[in-house]
Amino acid sequence: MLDTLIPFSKELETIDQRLQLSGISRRSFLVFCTSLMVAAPFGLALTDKASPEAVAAVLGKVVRPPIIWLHFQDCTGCTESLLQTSYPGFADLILNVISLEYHETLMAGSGLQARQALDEAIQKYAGKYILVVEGSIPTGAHGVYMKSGGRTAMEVLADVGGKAAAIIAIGSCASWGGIPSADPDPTGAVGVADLMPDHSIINIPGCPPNPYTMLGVVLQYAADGTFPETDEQRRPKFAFDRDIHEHCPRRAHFDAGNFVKVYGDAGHREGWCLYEMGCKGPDTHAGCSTRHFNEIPDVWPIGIGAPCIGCTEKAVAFKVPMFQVVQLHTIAAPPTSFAPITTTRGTISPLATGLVGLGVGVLATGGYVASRQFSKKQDDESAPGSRQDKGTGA
Amino acid sequence: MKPTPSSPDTRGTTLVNHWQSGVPVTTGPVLTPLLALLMALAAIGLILAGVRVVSPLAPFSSMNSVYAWGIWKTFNVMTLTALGSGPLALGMAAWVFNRQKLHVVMRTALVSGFLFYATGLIALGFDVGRPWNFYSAAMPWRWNTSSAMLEISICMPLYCAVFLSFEILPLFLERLYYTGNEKARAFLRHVSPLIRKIYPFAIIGAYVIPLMHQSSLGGLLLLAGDKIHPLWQSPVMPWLYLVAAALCGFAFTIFLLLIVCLRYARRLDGDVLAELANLLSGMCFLFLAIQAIDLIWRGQIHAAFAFDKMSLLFLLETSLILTPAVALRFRRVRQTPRALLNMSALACLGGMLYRFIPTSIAYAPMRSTSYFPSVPELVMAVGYISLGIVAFVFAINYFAVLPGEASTWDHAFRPFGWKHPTATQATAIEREA
Ligand code: SF4
Ligand code: SF4
Repeated sequence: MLDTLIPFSKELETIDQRLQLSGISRRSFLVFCTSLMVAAPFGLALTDKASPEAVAAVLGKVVRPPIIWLHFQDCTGCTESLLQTSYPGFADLILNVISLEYHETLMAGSGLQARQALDEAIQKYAGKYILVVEGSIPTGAHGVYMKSGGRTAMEVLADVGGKAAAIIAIGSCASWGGIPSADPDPTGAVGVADLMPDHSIINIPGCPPNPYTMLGVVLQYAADGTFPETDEQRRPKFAFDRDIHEHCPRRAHFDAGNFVKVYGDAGHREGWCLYEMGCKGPDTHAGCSTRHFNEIPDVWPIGIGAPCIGCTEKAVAFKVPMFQVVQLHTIAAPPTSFAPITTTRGTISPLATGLVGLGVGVLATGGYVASRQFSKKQDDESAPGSRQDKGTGA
Repeated sequence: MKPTPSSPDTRGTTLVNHWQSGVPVTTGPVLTPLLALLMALAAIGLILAGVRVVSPLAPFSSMNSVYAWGIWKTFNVMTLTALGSGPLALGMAAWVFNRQKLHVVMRTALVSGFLFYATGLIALGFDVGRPWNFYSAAMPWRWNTSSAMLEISICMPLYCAVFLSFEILPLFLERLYYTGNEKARAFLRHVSPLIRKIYPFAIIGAYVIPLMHQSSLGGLLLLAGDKIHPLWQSPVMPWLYLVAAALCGFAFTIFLLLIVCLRYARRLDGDVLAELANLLSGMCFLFLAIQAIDLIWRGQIHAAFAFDKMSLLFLLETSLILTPAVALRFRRVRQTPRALLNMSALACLGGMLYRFIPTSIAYAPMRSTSYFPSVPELVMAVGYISLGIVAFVFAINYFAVLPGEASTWDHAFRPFGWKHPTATQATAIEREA
């Protein structure tokens, strides 16, 4: 009975075998590999290849990693961002590349069936599966703010997380609390790493994060059992090493002092910098400015005219007011007003041309006079500059 | 006339004569009416520059959105640093190709080169539109390593402020030695062997770095693509920019030596000047050869003889370089001061035209409007140049810059114990006498 509800859950195949089985075209797999390379241009061993074909060759031999996906206090935005791809069928591909054993939003079963599925998956892949956690864990009042199948979120996490090979905390909520932890934080929301600090945990903050970051980490782990290098906040460096401001397409406007003052003003329509609207780009480490969402260029907040809220930074999003102008640490703040630098037409002043003419005339005359002096002195035997005494035979 | 006998290098105890030696100007008042005029021009230029910092670019310059490079960049930097390449050209010849005779005029070249670079950098400093971000240039981790401008903006100040400055350091040390107290002298006696030891290594940068940025100036123009007229826009532009720098460097050093000798009634040393003239002529031919081969190879040679405005300009530039190249092949021309002055001036002009034209006259962006420097812009440009001249006059009056006063400039210089054939001969003659 259960087997029919959760299809393809028998033995784990390699990705190649699986893709053949489900009739997914080679082409869309290559597009997927390309997206993965775009999402992780540096720092991920898996995508450190010359071509998408090379990535596909490695990836094809990888055994599909079993994944259990748990929801706690969340909005399911992270799941949505994984599945709302712009090509039809692409989500299908993603679900075939990984082996999603349990996912409360996607599975058909509910209640007891769901619980059984979870227990079975844990048993089958104990110590081998990757746990993906979405949403923060309420700790206030002994965790009564969230219960699932009679257990509090803390108990579920301790059980499922304890047997996982590794945990990926997806989204800002799972990383360190996110929206539910914003002031006044009635539920005492915390992230996974706060509860299981010694576990192998990778944080992929973002609200929502780019799904390819998560896929990159998971597939890298499946391929050779390693996790990419992380920073002190447990974020994989390949996706979180630069700040938004550094590669923002509106950066030139920042440097030129072109700022949006009010939403919808002329500057906003022209695509100017959102710094004065409270853009947190200068303080936020994430790849959004170069790796856009849904495989569509310019689909990311600043690209569509909304300021960055700093969702990948523990200290920024949901802690600092959204429209508060950010403190600049690494670059000088631009002055509040700028001298105009745009002059579209050049002018030629007659005085200037006259002066240039005069200058050239003076120099030419001076040169001529100097030159004359030489010949005069040359005739005068004793004068300085004379070369007569050298007897050159000239 | 018997040449000034050269003495063996036994003066190892003091600083003097270990580097290129020189003799300060001692005659006449320093402050002449002409110098006062130049000082006034420099002051006006600098005051305007100060106002420019707090005012928008618009009332000051006619730079516009199409022509973002005004006269400060195209003339004070692009063109005048070519004239300021004397230290590079002479130094290469003297140190690398072992033409030791040239060491005697190195100081003149060094000081003039330093001042061209320094005033060019001052001009650039006042040209920067967003000066508050400027300090980032000192922080390598903020560099945009894929920018072509980076090489120049880092290299030029580095060359001027570190390597050239180090190369002219002996001037200051010598002056300190002669005017300072006993303590200073003792200190200098102590450090001079050390400086002497590291000197040849420390100045390597002074010959590597300008090779990079002088060619990069041409490299920058490659990026302008077809905005620049095909007679000038060419893949060999970095090479031509470099050769033009060497050409201008030699030409300007000859020109400057002749002018100061005339002004301060000094005698000329025909050997040194002839050597320089030879090198200049060689550089001119090299330049013309590269240019001709390039034009033929790109199939643009017909454009040079189209006799339209650009082709006439090109022919003018070429003839300005060709004339000295050919004329200086003749011994008679090389040995006649007036002819030498004229030819070096022509070569200077030709080289300057080559460096100036692609950035300005032959530069025609599509959305075309026009650019001609405004009056304040011109005054500032002239002010920077005047500043350089004033500084040069002071330098030659208070420091040992110019070569000796006799008709044979002091050739006794033997850097770091290298054997100097004429020196040993000379001492031998002296002993016999
Ligand atoms: S991190 Fe943001 S998008 Fe993800 S579940 Fe939390 S609130 Fe939703
Ligand atoms: S402040 Fe924001 S919108 Fe402006 S350049 Fe930086 S990241 Fe982009």
